[in-house]
Amino acid sequence: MKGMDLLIYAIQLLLYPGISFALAAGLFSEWFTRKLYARFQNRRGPTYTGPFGILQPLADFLKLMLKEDIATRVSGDKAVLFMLSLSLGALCLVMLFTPLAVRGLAFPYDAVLVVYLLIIPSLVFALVGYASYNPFGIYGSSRVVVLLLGYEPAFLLSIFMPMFATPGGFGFSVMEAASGAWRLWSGPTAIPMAIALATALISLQCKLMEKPFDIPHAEVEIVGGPFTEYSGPKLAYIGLLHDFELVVGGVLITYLLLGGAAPFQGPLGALAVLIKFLAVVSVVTLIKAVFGRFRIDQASNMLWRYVILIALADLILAAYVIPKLA
Amino acid sequence: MTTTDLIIGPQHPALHEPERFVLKLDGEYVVDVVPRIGYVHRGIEKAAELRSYIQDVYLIERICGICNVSHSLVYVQTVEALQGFEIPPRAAYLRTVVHELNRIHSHLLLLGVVGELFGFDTLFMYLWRDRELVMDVVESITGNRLISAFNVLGGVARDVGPSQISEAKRAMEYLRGRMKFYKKVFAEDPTVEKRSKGVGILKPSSALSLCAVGPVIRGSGIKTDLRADDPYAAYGEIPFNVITYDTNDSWARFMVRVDEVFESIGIIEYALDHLPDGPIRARFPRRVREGEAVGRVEAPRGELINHIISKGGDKPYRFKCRTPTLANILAACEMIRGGQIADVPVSLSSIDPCFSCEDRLAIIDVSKGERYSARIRDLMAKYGASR
Repeated sequence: MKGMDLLIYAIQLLLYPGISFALAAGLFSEWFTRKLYARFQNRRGPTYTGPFGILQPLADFLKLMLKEDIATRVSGDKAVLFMLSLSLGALCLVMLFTPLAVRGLAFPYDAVLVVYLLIIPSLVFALVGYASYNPFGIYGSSRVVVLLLGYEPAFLLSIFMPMFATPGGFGFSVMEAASGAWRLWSGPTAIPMAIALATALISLQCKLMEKPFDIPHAEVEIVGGPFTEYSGPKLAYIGLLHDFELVVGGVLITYLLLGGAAPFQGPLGALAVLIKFLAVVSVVTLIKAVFGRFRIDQASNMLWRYVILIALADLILAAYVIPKLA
Repeated sequence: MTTTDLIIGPQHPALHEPERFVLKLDGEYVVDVVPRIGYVHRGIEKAAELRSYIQDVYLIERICGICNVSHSLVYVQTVEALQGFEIPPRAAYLRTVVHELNRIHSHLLLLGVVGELFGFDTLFMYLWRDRELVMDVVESITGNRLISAFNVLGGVARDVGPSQISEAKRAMEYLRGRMKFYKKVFAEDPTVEKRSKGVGILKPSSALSLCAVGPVIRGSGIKTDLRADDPYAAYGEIPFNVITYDTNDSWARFMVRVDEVFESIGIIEYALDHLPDGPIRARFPRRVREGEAVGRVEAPRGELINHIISKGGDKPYRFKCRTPTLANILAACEMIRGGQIADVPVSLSSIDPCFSCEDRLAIIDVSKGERYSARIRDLMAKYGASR
């Protein structure tokens, strides 16, 4: 790799589609979710800061950033900051593998790397709780781990499905799969695509720890769960990490399962990406509004007994059964 | 077996009042629970002995903000019983109407909070929005949304006119439609079913031996309601059903409250239709004769008892109040044992807790690994704070 290439990738990481873009998109998605969630509940949502309250998430973020950074004597303070920045970076890097990037990264089997990068934030959510050395934090973290064992395989199987179904061999590259995803919606592969979309949305809901899977930070049971001890900048980073996960998860589903810009191109294609992304966010918000919280045993039961098995069967259907029939 | 302690309260998001429960946990399961009550002791009973009977009406209805009407009602009834005083029939009917409006608002409030404890925020928002309707009716009848001193010694404070009656009846009709929807939600919604069915079991035998009261004991299938068993105000003349469910779980206790709202709407409509004419209060003497009386009413949370001793004069010699939550707290601990952490807020809320001393502060020195408790006086002496 030449020096020029490195510079291009560094700029992409810092500006678009990396940190700056992900920050803007994350805060926008948070505003969109809050506004929509409020409308579902017969409330108005953010109205004060900026037009339609659009700057409220930014104001919340800045307020937390400017607060005093408090750490208890027993908590692993530096380690927490390191873990949080590592996972923010990991998610920014994932953005480079998607077609959003101006000059993206693509090589055979890069999807495996993407999956590894996606697991980092989930692990970090668990580790920050353990590092806080608080009973509520430890209980929250153990709940994160229990859920993680359920939804990570399900999410992985769901986003791998188009790669298995792409005709002409297993590229296992996110870029390649994204370019072929729209074609899978025509013909018999539309059935496994629809199933994969459903399982991906459920596991994304769980990954984001939104209702009905907000069990790790169920405030009426274990206060803030893993985040109980955190305030100020660290809490801002935790909130940001959640927003980044929403953006990255939404973008991956938009490209891999909904076909991204297709069937349009150019500016119309960008609009299609935006609409598909907002549709994913809306579905997440709708599920959040119509469900209460499950109990940890009910949630893991559901993930293991249904979601993972359905996602696995779907993968087999797409990779082996449908090509045989055709 | 080693257990972990997890402390709920006194400052905890699940409880909106200070109360402490130490849970002994084995993983996610609760092995035992130790309650600690008394954080909001305000000395109201002693304060009542220092004030006149009339001033006490305003003091005692402030014991609880939510069921304030029950508190003032049981107090005025007890004092009237002490004096052997009969109130005009119109006053008895109006007391019943406001008492039932208070019950509806209290039940809707609790059901909304339950939604929040399930993590079902949407249900919470909807229920509390419709609860505002009841608050408007209460305001139009009594003059204030919540604490209004409507019940006074010898009758009620304000009369209602035809326009208020028709407004209240219109509101009740609308509320009945909304409640049908909420009943469907509580009966059929998967989240409610998952989180409350079979959770916090209280067997009828335990309910009786632990002296549970109100919707808690009715949720265990035992038919007891003071409004029917020992009628006061105008309840003897108004037809209504005592609701019971026999699944013994948190769901049963919520459904009892949902159905009781329908009964309360019926009672209010009947009372407003059959409102007798006549005065709304009679002159009550300032001095109450010597004696002792016990009064009780069915508050939204259960049986509420007042005990007053008078030695003559214009102040009570002794005033004692037993609130329903105190009677239900042992039953709540029974429900929590054997469940999961996630069930604790649900079970606790199913008794509709309303927690109303000198406390010690525990200091833990991490570097030395020591733990000791200190009184506020010691801390002031150590850190030189002036009083």
